[in-house]
Amino acid sequence: MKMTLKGWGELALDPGQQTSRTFGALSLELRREANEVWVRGSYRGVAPVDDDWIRWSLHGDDRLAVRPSRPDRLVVVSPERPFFLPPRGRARVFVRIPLFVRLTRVDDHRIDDTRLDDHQEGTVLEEFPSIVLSDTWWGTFTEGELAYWVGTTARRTVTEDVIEPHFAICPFDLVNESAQALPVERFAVRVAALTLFGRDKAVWTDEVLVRYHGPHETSSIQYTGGPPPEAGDVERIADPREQASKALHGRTFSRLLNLSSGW
Amino acid sequence: MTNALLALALQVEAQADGIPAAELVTRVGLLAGARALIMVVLGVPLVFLVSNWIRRLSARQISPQFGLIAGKLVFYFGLATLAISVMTELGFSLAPLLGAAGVVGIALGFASQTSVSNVIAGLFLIAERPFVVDDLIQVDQNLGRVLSVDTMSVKLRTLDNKFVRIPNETLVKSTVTNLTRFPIRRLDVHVGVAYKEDPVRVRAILFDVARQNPMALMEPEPIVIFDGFGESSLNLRFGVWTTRENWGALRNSLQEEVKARFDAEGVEIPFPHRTLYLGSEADAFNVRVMREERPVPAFDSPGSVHDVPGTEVSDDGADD
Repeated sequence: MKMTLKGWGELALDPGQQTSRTFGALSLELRREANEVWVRGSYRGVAPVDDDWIRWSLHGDDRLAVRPSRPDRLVVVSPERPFFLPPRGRARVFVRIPLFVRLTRVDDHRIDDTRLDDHQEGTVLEEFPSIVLSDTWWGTFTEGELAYWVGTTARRTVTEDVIEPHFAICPFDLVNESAQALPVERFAVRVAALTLFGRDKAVWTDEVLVRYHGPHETSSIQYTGGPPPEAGDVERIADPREQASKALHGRTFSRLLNLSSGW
Repeated sequence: MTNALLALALQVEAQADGIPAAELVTRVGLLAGARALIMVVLGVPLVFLVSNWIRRLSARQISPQFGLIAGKLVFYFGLATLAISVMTELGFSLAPLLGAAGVVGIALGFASQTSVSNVIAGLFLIAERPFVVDDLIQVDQNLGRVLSVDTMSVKLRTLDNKFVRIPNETLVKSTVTNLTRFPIRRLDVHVGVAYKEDPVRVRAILFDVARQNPMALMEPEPIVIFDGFGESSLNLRFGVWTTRENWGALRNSLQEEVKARFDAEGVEIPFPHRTLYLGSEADAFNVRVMREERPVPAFDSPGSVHDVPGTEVSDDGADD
């Protein structure tokens, strides 16, 4: 299976050569010395400095590739304009998840395998987020986990203008099975459990079905594992980073949190 | 100490029974000696093994410090049991020894009140678990990482790499602040701005500084609290949440960024001002500067001064 994503894939870099690629706000520079690869990631608006170069000692004939990857932490999605989901209501929203750029060394015995499966893509050298992400906390003051914060318009439809190679479009089906309205202010996406699909410059994830049972119950999350119908004819380009069970239970909506109380 | 007690016990027993000391040796037969030797050879490694196993198991199942203490308790108990067994095997009666030990025990008890208190306090610390190994704690003036929680004391490594031993009894009586108990912490920065500044604008700038800092968390949201009217400034408290690992780095970067941003935005950080008034009736008074006309020191030695009538000048002395 050949990868058909634009901008991603193998890099031709001979000794003494230098090249750069841009993914969103990230400018990735690569320089090949005799038996070394120098890598530097910098972001729009921030001047790169020499100290940012990272050196990797490799063999002269090692080949390199850049692959799209999911963020390495939970992503907290916050709609710019929060909305309410009525009791027994259902909504399908599309959220853009920023992709990470993963620089890998292509293992020789997998030269023809361009699938981005984590176990087949070769040795991971470096990973850079394609945009500058803010950190946030998902949990309570005494327990929880560090997450990335992503603002979204939470669109109800996908148009061409929102498709960019460094974002994965994630369809969310939110179902409010409780007897009270659900304010959707922010919700958490466990991106490690997502599958990536893509073609041309569009990257999609599998569909996520979230069922909300009430403020005192945990929500259930299901990852379908298949491409959404909106994606059209796409290929699977990466399996989940962690094999989640089909139905996960966890805190998904921020109304379960109590972070705003007290100072 | 043990040898002395043993000798004392032997002498007491020998005198009581009327048996010469040399005959005592015959009581300890070769067989008993061999059995005692086997007990020592097998028993000591066994005590080490069991205590290590208990320590590892407790550390894994409960906590590392509980493991340390449980391992030590098992070790000492095992050694004491082994010693008693060996002595019994060699034919020594333990009654006189225990009698002597009782006398010694009373003396030791008086002498070791503090130690016993520390041991009991250590048990409370283990049960309560206010901190664990590797936590960053503050006890009085001592701030450091916990190296170990032992039966008698807690050992700290201070941030400037000093070793501090705090008796458990002191810890139980003191206020202990655990800085790394929870995964996130808030950094409070006290900011003073000039009275002419608009607090709402300053607040917006501070929120933006927090938003731009990669170590600041979006949630819990940063806060700006108007602390009050100071002598020379409006006092604000700027609280930003971060992970406990990033707290130190954020402390540096955030304050530098606030200063840089205030400079860029023209927000004044005032220093203490004092305005002196001479009373409401006091007007400004004129000052005249009298300039001495200095003669050319033709024949005089350097540094001599002549009284020459001065010349009035009305400017600031720019012709000097």
